[in-house]
Amino acid sequence: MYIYVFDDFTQQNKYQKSIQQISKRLTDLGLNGKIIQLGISKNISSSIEDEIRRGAKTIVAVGNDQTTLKTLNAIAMSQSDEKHCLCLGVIPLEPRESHLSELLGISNINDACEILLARRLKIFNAAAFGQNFFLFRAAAPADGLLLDLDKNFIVQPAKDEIVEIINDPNKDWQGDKKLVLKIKHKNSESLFSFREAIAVNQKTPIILDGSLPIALPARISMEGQKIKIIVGKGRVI
Amino acid sequence: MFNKQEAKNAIPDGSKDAETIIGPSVTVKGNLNSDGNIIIEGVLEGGVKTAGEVFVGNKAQITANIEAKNSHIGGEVRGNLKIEERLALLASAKIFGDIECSSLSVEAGAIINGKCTMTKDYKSVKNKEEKELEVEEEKV
Repeated sequence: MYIYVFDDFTQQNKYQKSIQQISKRLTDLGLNGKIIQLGISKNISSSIEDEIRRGAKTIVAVGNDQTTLKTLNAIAMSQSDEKHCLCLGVIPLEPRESHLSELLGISNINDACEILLARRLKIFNAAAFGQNFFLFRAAAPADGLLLDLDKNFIVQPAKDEIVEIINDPNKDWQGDKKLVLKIKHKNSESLFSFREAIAVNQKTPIILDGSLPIALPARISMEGQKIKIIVGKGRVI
Repeated sequence: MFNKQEAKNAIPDGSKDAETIIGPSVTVKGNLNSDGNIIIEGVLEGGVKTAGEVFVGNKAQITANIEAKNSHIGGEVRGNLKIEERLALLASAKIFGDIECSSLSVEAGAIINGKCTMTKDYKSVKNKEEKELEVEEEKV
């Protein structure tokens, strides 16, 4: 059974045409399901938990990258183990502005529906960031940021640098699971690999997958969750 | 009229596939343990231990003991160096600590303030380097 999670902002008038297009396409493809409309009073985690209890197997995020991440986090918190992995699908309302959709090979609304039908699954190791998860990248300005890597050493970048934490699904760590810390300066780059880190910064939050801001301090690790995602043929990763 | 000869950097072009790179503006405090190559161009306080190679750039400042298989140093190190095979000190290197290695090369201008102990027979290390070079040439 398919559960479609519509983000709060999708109720705006400018999205109604796209939503009708989606609805029609899903009906044509026989992919109708239950709709959950997020709002002030509707909590995504408890809604998804309820649907899992009722036997849902596929949760589709309809909205933007933040919607996808919120849905992914709710799935990751709710699923008990790898055997009972739920599938995450994505329908971006503004595909050109969605970095995650591009990475997953979803270029427009019609393609998104066809991709749901094709049901090409890929398992991702989502990395844990505090109480949240991210798929590919967490980034922040370095001003005030300190990172304690593997409880072995502390990295202090310069103020005007950008810090990225990268979860690369294509990188072969030969059985080990690691994340990469990249610090970008004008003409240079620093690189560290680690399993676990504590990030501390009083000044600015860190942004997960380009869309979800998370306040620090937080623990980062590869002991996240395996998530099954429905991907397109033209996926980058 | 005359071109200034650029100072040699300790970091050869082929070493950019290092597992850990500490850039010029980054400070690291603690113990850096690795299996791969390490490039240090910034500030490090603590310790460095790797089964691979350590490259210390000309402007790097290290207050740590370094243990590695090979090392090329162009910057300042305050600590002891324990290098299993080859240690190369460039003209800009400044070492304040003891050195233990099997093979040592020191450019004119490098500063060493400490003891130096050669741990293995140099000939056996040189034979091993020559054999490794032959194997690489055969692959090509």
